[in-house]
Amino acid sequence: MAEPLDPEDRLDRLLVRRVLDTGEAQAFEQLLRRHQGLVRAQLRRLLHGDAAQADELAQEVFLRLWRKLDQYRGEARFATWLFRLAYTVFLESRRKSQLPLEEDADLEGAAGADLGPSPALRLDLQQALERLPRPERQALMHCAELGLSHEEAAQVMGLPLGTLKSHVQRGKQRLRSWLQDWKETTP
Amino acid sequence: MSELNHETLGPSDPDDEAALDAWLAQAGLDPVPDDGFSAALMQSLPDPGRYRRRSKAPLWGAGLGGGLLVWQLAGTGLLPQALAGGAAGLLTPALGVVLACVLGLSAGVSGWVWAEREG
Repeated sequence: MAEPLDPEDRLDRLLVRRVLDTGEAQAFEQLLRRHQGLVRAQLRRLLHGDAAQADELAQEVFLRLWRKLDQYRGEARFATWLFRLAYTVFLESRRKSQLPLEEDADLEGAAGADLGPSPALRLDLQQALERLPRPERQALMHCAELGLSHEEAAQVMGLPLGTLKSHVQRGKQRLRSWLQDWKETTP
Repeated sequence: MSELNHETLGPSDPDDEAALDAWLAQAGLDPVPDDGFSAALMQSLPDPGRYRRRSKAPLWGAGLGGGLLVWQLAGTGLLPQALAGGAAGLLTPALGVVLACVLGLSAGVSGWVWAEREG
């Protein structure tokens, strides 16, 4: 069960209840307006900045939210549950689109690889994040960029808490290592 | 956050866990401006009255199904026999048939409500 509710989550839950009890479309619209910005940002980041595809998926996320809102049981923050829904839609779209082999390798296989620094990441730490193996990048994205706790990020990604923490830790180690290389090679 | 570059990590101390955490904390995602996204999506919602109707669906389903059941069984004489068996505390064939019908009806209504929920 969730911790004592923060005001934002309390408002979300009230809006959910209004939608379910009265079918009030305005309440759903408030939910939509409150959360569309971060859900679209999450999807853009997952899709490496592809805004058009991210918005297409975001539309699917909120249509699915409309259909499945009564499946929200209040066991997690509403925002966490919604991020989880968005992440699920993202994973489904990847499966459908049958991405090229290197993308799949990036998804599953690169966790143990040492990709090493590139010239690009010497210029921009954001690009260093982008170069992380996908599980580590996505774990760090949900924890650091979306501000979720480890527990919430694990829920969103459907991972055991220990696995999520390992991804975060390995991602940080890799970033530190690359930054150390950068420091040593920079005059 | 693309403006965040190495300079924001501070005095280039990548071994410093706190510095990396501070940088990651600054890397929070900016919400995407709405720019008509919500309005367009509200226009495309499949059925704005969906939840209101759905909340009454089980009642309508149970009422309709129950009426049909009683209508079907009334002419067969099963219902009085089942009631008599039930009153005597015996699982008579008639009571078994009625119970099977009730269970079947419940399963059917549940399936219908579930299908509605899945949209």
